[in-house]
This record gives sequence, C-alpha cells and structure tokens, in this order.
Amino acid sequence: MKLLQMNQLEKTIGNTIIFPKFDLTLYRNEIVALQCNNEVGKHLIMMMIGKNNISNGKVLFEDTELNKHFKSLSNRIGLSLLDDALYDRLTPREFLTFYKNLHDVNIEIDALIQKINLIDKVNTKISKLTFSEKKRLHLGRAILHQPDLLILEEPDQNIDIESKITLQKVLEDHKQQGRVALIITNNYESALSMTDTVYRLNEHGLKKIEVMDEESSQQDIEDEEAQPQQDMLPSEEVRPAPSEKIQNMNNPLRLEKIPAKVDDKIILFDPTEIVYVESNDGISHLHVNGESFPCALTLNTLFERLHPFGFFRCHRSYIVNLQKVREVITWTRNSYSLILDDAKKSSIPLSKGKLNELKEIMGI
Amino acid sequence: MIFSFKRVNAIFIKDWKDLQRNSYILFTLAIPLVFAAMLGRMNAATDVLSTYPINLALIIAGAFIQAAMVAEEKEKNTLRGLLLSPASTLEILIGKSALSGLMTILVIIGSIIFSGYTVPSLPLFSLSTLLGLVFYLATGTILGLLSRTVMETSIIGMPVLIIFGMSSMFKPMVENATLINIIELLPNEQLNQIWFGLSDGKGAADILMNLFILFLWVAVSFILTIVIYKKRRFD
Repeated sequence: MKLLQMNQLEKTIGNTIIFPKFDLTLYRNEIVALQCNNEVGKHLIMMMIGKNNISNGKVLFEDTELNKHFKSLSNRIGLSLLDDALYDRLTPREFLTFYKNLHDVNIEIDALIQKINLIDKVNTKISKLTFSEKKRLHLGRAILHQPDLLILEEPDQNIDIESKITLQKVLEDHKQQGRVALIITNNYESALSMTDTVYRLNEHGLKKIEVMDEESSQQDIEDEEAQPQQDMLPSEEVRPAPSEKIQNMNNPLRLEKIPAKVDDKIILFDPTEIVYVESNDGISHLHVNGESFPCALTLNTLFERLHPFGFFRCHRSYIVNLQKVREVITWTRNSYSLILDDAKKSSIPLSKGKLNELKEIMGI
Repeated sequence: MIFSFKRVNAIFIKDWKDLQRNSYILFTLAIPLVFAAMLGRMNAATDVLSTYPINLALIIAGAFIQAAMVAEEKEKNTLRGLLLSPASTLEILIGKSALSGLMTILVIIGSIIFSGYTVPSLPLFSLSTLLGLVFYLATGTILGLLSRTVMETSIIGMPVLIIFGMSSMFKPMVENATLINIIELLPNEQLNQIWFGLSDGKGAADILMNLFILFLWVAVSFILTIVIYKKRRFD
C-alpha cells in the first residue's frame, strides 16, 4: 500500500540543480534510506514539510499534498531533524509528556522511555544528558505519537553503539507495525546498516543502490563452497581459493601490492595496510590509515588478489581485512555490522548471508 | 486546524515547569518585588512612587517575561519542533501569554503587599490593571517576535522600559507642554490617573475617558502584534 509518493520532484535554485526530477514511492512496511549530502537532504525535508518551495513535482501523502497540508497531517508524521533542539531545563519525562499532550495521544510515557533506553535518566535535566541520550530522546519524541511516516535525518550520526542498537530496534518495531520510515543520511554505511532499500540522491538524480538480498548471497556461498571440495589444497587459509592458487603458479611475477591512483601518482599499498575496501559508484576505494584512495581495480579483482591475505567479502560492496575486525555487532536478527580496529572505529555492514561464512572462518 | 485548549494547556504547563528552573526569569520577576519592598520601607508615599511598583510589575513581569519566553524558543531552536507538532502559533502564543499573565498578577499582588499600597475600589482597579496587563503582554509578544535571542529582548526592550516605565518619574522634570501632554497619554500615566482618581474617591464615570484611552492602547498593540507577526514569520 502506497503511503508516500514523490512524483517528478525537482529542486533547482537559480540555475543550480540541487536534484533533478525523480520518482519515489514508499510502501507500508518499508524502511527506505536516502543517501545524499546534507544540503540535498535538507532541501528535500524542507520541501516535504512545506518550508521550501518545490521547484517541480508533488509530494503526496496518501492522496494529500504533504507540503501544503503538513499541519493537519502532523499527527501522522514523526520528524527528527539534525538540528532539532530540546528544552534544556526540562527532564525527559516532562519533555515527552509535553509532546504527548500536544499530540493529544494516549500512550504510556514509561513504556516509551523504556523503549529509548532512558529509564535511569528520566528525572535528569536534559542539559545534563550526553549527546547520544539526547539523540535517543529526539527519537522518542519522533515516534511518540506512533506516526505512519517517520522521517529521520542523520539518526545515527555520532551516537554510541548502545544508541545504535536502540535505534535499530525502534526501526524494526516501526516496520513491523506496518509503518514507513524514511532515513536521510550522508553516510553510506549507516544507510546500509539500517535497511536494505538504499537510494542515492544527488545532482545526477535518484539511483537505487543494489544491495544483495539473502537468497543470492546464500547462492554465492554455496557456489563458492562447491568449488574447493574438488581440489583440497593444503593451505594456511581457512578457506582456500583454488582458482587463485592456480593463477599464482601460472604467473609467479604477479605484483602483490595494490595500486591506487591519486592525482598523477600511483601509490602502491601493502595488502596488510588496507583496512577495508568499499565500492562506491562503481569505483573501489581503499581505506588505509583513515584515508580513502580510489583504485582502478574492480571489487571482484581486488577480492581475488586480497583473499590470500586474510580479506573477506562481508558485503556486496565491501571487502574487509579480517585482521582489523574488532567487533561483530548484531543489531537485529537481520542486520549486522563489523566494527574495525582503526582510528575512526569504522563500522561496515555485514550481509546476513555472509555471517555464517564469517563464523566458519573465525571458528565460532 | 481547530483551536485546542488542551494544547494551550500543555504549553502552559511546559513553560511553567521550565520557568521554575530558569534563573533569568526568576530574577526578573523578583525585581519589582524588591522595588516594592524598598519603597514600602522608605514610606515615601508621594503620589508617583506609591503606584510605581505596580507599573514596574506590569512592564517587567508582563512584557519582559513574555518577550524572553518567546525569544528563547527561537534562540534555542526549539520552536521548530513546536511548529512541526500539531500546535499552532496562536496556541503557542496564548499558552505563553497565559503563563506570563498569571505570573504578572502574582507579582502585582506581591508588590501591593510589600509596598503597603491600599487598593481603592477593587473591581475598577482590577479592570484597569487587567487592561494594562493585556497591553503589556502584547508589547512583550512584539518584543519577542522582533528579537532573535533573549539578550536582544533586553536591548530592544530598553526604550520600552524607559518610555512606559520611567516616564512618570521624568514628568516633573519636563517643561515642554506638548511633551507633557504626550506623556500623559501613555498607558502607564493613564493607569496612574485612574488609580489616583480612585484613591481620591472618584467613581466609574470620572475615569471613563482614561479607560477608553487605555482601551485604545490595547487595540493598537493588538493590531501591531498581528502586523508584526504576519511580516516576520515566527520561524
């Protein structure tokens, strides 16, 4: 069932195209993430709530134009924006009670506080909460009136792991109840960790990012598993890749370094230096020491070359150096992340289908 | 969207809880009370000074508190959340006015007790004070709408404080007849004239003209509030 439709939506300022015309429909039981930069995201949200002009097209909530009737629909929409603020001198309970009365809904404040994991801070002044706790309170305010459409801007930016788990649970719950969530984020990884339906919106338009679904990933694993059984070569790796071994023998002069091109230079990286590789817009990016370098090789080629060094394809768009993995986090039954042991404590998504394979490698 | 008293009430309660922990507002509310106590101890019951605490209570509690509450929502960016909720601007402003109105009435009662002012003819006194209160609440709302931060309300509130708060004190010093006439038309002077008249035992008929002028001030401040609200979008 359609809940939100964006028809031929477009935003231009003067001659600059913020984003060109696109169509997007959100159905019930769906969590959709839009990966876009902050400016595009801001414009899109402001257009939806009727604060900015729509250059072209329509935003329909069921059959009403959302931007023109936002106030009357505000009871059905939950919104949490990046620059939202709280009343510093109130406590979380007072704050939520206030919004409960504004929305005139009958809910258990305590249950909500439990849900957003603020039970021990319920009578602390908001000004004394940590950043993550404040973000959880914002989330609580957004879901308080059980809106059909939940719009979250950068919900997991800068928050701690505990809050991320809370966020995932809330989103899962929201989806289970047949509601819709639209997540607008700049961060590709966080988009992927929250949902499988990810779009990228920029000045070139809207593009769906294909995320491997369970069946196909399962298929991949089976295919891979079928191969090594035919020629069991003794090897240091837990999972030998026979094709590579053969290639190695045929081509002994093969370079073990991974080239990346920066401006006019070609930098050669030691495979062990690389923390992870991300494929973004069809280009592989090597993440080394907190920096990212584009690499001309495709993810598949890279994986073939990196596999002997203990790399693992944890996601369709990611290869990770298993030596650098510090934590494996289970958000919900269907979503997992790997926390890496680099300076930024990067988190990268792990496909559900790859979990078993990873467990096997790690010997759990 | 239909006007809802439930939402007005919610805003009232929220602001009431916020106010209890807001030292800026608490100190501001205390100023007229301190003044009243001081004047009461001085026993300087000259005509101007005897009603001065009430005028001061009206302007400080009525106008400045209202302005600070409206401006703080803007400054702290909490207004966005309110405007995206079902609450309308009218409900927000009325909820806030109700609270600052109540606080002003409390402060006026306190000032009367501290300064030892004897209230003449309670119904007429209350009516005139109430008209004054509405005028100052509207002025406070205008100040709040015009300023972006609480700090700014004190700055643009200064002329208001001087004109409406201090003009009675300056009056004896002014010699220009036109200026005196203008000062006498100001709402605080009208209130003074009403209260002195009542103290002198005059009846409703004698102060009708003053009440009418006061009513005009209320009407003008209301229209001005609406115009400024329309011009400057609240957000």
